[in-house]
Amino acid sequence: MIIFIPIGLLLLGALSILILARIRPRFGTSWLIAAISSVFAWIAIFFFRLRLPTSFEIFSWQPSNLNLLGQFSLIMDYDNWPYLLSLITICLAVILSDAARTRYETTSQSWVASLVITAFGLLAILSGTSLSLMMTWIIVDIYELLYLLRLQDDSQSLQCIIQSYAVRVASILLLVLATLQGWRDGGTFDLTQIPQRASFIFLLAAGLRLGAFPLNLPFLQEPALRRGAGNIIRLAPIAASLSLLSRLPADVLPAQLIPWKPFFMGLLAAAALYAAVRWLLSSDEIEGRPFWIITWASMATASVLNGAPGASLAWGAALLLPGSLLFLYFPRIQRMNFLLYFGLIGIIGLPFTPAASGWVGFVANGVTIWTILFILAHAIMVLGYLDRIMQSGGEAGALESWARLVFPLGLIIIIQAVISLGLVGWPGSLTLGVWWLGAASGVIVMGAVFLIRRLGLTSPYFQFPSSGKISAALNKILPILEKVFRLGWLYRFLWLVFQFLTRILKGFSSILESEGGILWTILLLVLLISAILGGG
Amino acid sequence: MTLSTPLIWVVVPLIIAAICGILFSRDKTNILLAGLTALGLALLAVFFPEDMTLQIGPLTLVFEENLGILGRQISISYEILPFIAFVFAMNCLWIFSSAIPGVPLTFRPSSLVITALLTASLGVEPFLYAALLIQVIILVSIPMLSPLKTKTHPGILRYISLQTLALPLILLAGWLLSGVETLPADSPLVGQSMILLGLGFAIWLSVFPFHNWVPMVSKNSQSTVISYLLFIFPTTILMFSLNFLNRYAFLRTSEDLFTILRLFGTVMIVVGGILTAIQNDIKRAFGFTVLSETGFSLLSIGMASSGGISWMLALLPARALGFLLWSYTMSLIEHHAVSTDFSKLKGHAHFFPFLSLGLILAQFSIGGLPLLASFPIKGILLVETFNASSALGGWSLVGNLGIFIFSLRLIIVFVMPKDKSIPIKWNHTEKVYEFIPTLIIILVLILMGLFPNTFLTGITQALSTFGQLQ
Repeated sequence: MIIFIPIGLLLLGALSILILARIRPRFGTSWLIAAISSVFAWIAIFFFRLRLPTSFEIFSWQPSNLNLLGQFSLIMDYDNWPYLLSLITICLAVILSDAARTRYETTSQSWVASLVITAFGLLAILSGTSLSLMMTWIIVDIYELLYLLRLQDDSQSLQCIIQSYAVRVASILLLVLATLQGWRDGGTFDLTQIPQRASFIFLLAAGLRLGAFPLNLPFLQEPALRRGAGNIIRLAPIAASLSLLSRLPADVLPAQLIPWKPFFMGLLAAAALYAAVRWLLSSDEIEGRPFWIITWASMATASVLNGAPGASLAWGAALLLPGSLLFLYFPRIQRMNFLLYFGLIGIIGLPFTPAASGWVGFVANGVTIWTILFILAHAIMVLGYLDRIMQSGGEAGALESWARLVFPLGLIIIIQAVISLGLVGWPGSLTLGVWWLGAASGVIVMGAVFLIRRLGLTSPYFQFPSSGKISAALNKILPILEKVFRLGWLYRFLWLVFQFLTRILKGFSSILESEGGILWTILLLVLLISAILGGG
Repeated sequence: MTLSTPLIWVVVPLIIAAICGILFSRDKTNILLAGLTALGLALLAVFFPEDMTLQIGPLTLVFEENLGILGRQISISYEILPFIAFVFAMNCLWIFSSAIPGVPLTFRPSSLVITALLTASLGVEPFLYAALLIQVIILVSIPMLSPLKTKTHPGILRYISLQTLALPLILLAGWLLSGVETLPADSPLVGQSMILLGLGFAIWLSVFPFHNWVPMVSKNSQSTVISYLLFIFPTTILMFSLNFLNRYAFLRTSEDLFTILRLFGTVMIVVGGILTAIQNDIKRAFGFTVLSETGFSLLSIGMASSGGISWMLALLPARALGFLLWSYTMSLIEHHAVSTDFSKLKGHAHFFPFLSLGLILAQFSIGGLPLLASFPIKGILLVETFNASSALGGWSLVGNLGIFIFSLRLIIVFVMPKDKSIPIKWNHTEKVYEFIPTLIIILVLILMGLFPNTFLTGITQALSTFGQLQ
């Protein structure tokens, strides 16, 4: 039952804020409630590290007169604790750093949203069975859909939200399919023992949700909430999908798909590389956030495909924590810029840093061309991160006095979580790793920095000279690539096929419903009986 | 004092229906009378003592199972009472939901008559007379489908013609079957009687290609009416079909029959699902969704060897609640928007978010989205179908996908504004009586989806009536 403590605390906090908003709206008290509930939830999750693994069966559909399969349980172990810590840390950081954004987009409603989405996100990460996971995905998606729809006032954004929701529904249907396959193979199972034949479908479900496999970018334009609750909304479902990845078996590919592995790896490498370049060139970190997510998610997925699901933890943690450090660092304060350098610890991949244990995911089956592409993508991500760090900031005087204390605290707890994960996150998190891959990436980064200085590019943001050949080439290539990766062409093609089939089927229906419909019915019946008898 | 159970669950609702028919212009009285009667009969069926004796003060009422009418017997045993409780409870909910504007006044008495006749058809002896009762159900449904002073649409005529066509086929099959049991298994009469029986049931259940009346009637009838009819009518037919399986060993043991049922079940799921996906009219889409649901019932019976008949029964409450939510929200949406066409409903969710959410969740529930009522049963059914045949399992999934595609299209229609240049404002204008029942039904659907053993297994007790099918 202790598993429910952090979730209960967050939901209680959200409820209290809602009640307070009805009775006597007080901005400061609401913030305090949100902060207290997330601090206690954060402490509880830290405490859980001492009690791993823990499980709790909520209820089961068995035994059943109807022979139903399925059970609902929660599991907390080394595969999901890093994500639990990451998500609750982000939530706490959001609440604390929101103190500095009171003039922008922060409301007590956004804290309620942050707490609720985090609570359900934790539940999704804790899910011990596919049925529990399905339920929490559905709840998170519906809540998120309703919340985002309420915030939008232009139809363009609505379209993006619905497109994104459709992708989520598709991922849930894949999860259903994977569950049915798993039940078929061995009855009820939990996520620590995913049947091999179902595992690839689980991978597709998680990959689709991450936007990495197959690559899809419905949310290129970020929703109205960009930071704060917006960050939680974007990252909570990602954390839940990443925790599923880490639970997949090493032999995730079914035998008949093994020849396709290079193709899948190629797709992931292309996605990672493209998104890394877009991250590097994006005008700010929020515009670059979808690409940040895609790159690390591709690397995590590639690790699973390569037979090293444990390595996905390192890339998953890199996605969530150092990313949030950047996304929540607003407004920028010059004197606090140094804090961002600590975020590098989470992504740099040098020995004994959290990401060092991720490299094995690229070389589990030996060094291939894809390994090189992933190293390149990694180096570009680090370079982009450095670029963001170097952006100048404003004066601390712009903040209210209490915000001057809690805003940096919000960022520091993210750094603290990065370091904690590196030390005790999961077995083997503090490791030398495949050190030469980290070194190779580091050399590329240093080489790039040297070249940038030589080329005279300005930082922040790598702005190539507008008259240069590189700019001209990028201006041509990137829009084309974006069109390809946004899959708009695929949606249009599918829509055309759908309309074509609709026309045929509607024509067929209208014949059957016309005056002579009964005669057509009899004719069809005769044909059907002939077909069945002929077939028999 | 000695009474009989058919008197309670057949004759009483018929009398009340007659009174409601006489008082049809008094809307509220009608709803209360019919609704409370249905509720009372449902509760009585739930709490009826097993020894069939009721003690009310000094009065002791002893109930017999049989009631003789014109030389025939109607028998209602204790074992069938869970099912009777279920149909009357659903009838009660539909009657109370008919308080919303636009529902024909004839709905309450007609629906009560239909439920009473369905009850009678479950226990009439000789059982072939149930076919005649079903024919009466069809005739009684006409006044509510096509109320007075409204133009009769071609769908109604198609409905009566096709459904009436099934009656002689079933009667003829029944007559042949009475002699079949003593014949050797390879007698041509066995095959002939099976074909006639199959054809009769196929027409009754609107199996492809006899389905075309369903979307026609669905589009042109009031939502509450059509949803009730499309729930109760296939349910009646399916229960009647169980009688045949129970009585005739050669049907029960015929592998071919179950293979054909699985095949046609899958065809129905695919046809219903795909045709649902492409519709632009919500009520027409509902008609096709019902076909897909009938497909799931046939598939369940086809999987009888794995416990499919229990699944067929357990699907009924989930389906009923899904249909009820659909009918309630659809009736109100139709009342507000005066249309059921996609083009007229753009941006509807901005003003009626709860009704829109209710309708979308009703679609998702019928489709079998996890967390909602149908999923547990459809899940296990699909697993077993996959085990029996990967092709049938795969096609069933593809067919069911159609309902999800339609639901997603529905979300797009409800959310995207008609005029894209005007900034969107969300403003819920529903009244309390509109959104509270919607939320309650959604909650029950979720509870059913989470605790299927609590909510869905009770009805399977009705199987004990069919001794050979347990």
